[in-house]
Amino acid sequence: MGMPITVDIVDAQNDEIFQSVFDLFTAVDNKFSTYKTASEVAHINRGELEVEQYSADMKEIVYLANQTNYQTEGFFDIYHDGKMDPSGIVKGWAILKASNLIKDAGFENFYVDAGADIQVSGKNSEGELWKVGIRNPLNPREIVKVIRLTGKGVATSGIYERGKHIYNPKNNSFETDLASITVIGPNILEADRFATASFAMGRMGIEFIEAQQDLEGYMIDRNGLATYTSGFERYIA
Amino acid sequence: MKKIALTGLLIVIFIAYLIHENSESKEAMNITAPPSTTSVAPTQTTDTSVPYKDGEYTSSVGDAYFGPLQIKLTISSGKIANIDFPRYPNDRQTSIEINGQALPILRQEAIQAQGDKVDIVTGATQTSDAFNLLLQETLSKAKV
Repeated sequence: MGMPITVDIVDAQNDEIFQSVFDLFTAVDNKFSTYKTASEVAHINRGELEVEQYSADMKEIVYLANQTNYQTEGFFDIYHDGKMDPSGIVKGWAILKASNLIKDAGFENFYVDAGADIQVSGKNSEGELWKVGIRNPLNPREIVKVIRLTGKGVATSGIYERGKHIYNPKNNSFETDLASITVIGPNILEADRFATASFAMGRMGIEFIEAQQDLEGYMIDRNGLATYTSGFERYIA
Repeated sequence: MKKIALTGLLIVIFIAYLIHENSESKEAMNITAPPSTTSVAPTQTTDTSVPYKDGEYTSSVGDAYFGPLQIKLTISSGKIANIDFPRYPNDRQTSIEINGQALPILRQEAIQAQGDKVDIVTGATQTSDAFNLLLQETLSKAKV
């Protein structure tokens, strides 16, 4: 995956919990990386594993991917050209696991940020809701929206993470006039899988998010025009 | 999902963390883009025990898609104490056109830079790939 991970745990007294979180992400990367020849994904893509032989985690990911595929009418798909690449869902899934690990250790006030997808919990060190900035996809130096929230996941899918060409599995095309879509969901797994899918939908993506009761979205097109869902406003700082 | 084919790409996972003392002066890491100082503890999948030589190390200038990226590491007590960004990507100018096609319940606005300090930033940039490469390059200069 090769992405930066930031973990901030208010009231952490030592680095034990951070080491556990780091170990979790390492284990996830070893299993799901498409770059590592010994990963389970690599084994699957070389035809070396039957579905019945998949690990419990892999089965869970495949199940979630299939569910997302169904819920988005095919706009989310981890298979491309016969190969599996579950990164569009593994990231959110891993962040959620990490955040549950931190909660189980008794911490309430924290965030986990992996590749700029985020799970927030409790309050920041000033005792306030976490303030999350949405980066301008057309100018990464800028933040163009600030939201305040807790107990939610925030994921952004955009041209900056995928390069100039965004694959749309429905029509095998690479065109979009979107620059990014940011999704707020009840947790980071929900936000991540639907951010990935709705970005592939193009302009319809924000309408899809509007139609989901528990998701809100902020979409930015290549002209710098933002479109956001009716419930998004409550998060604006 | 587009696969990024980069030869020799090492998977680098690093965790930046703050340990908050249980005291009056708590300070969250306020991140504005781009970060000018960051405290990170670098961790690679195989090599956490090898210390780095203290000093300042500057990378070459890499391509982060939106523009050039360069990093400067400060190693202190064998660990990364600071990361500066002598060069950070910038964008092209864009013009704003109004599209009147949105559904009535969706809202629209032209995006505008916000001045607030924030705790966290969403919206990954390809900067992170270029960053990883430059970090690897620079850390290898700093190896004991």
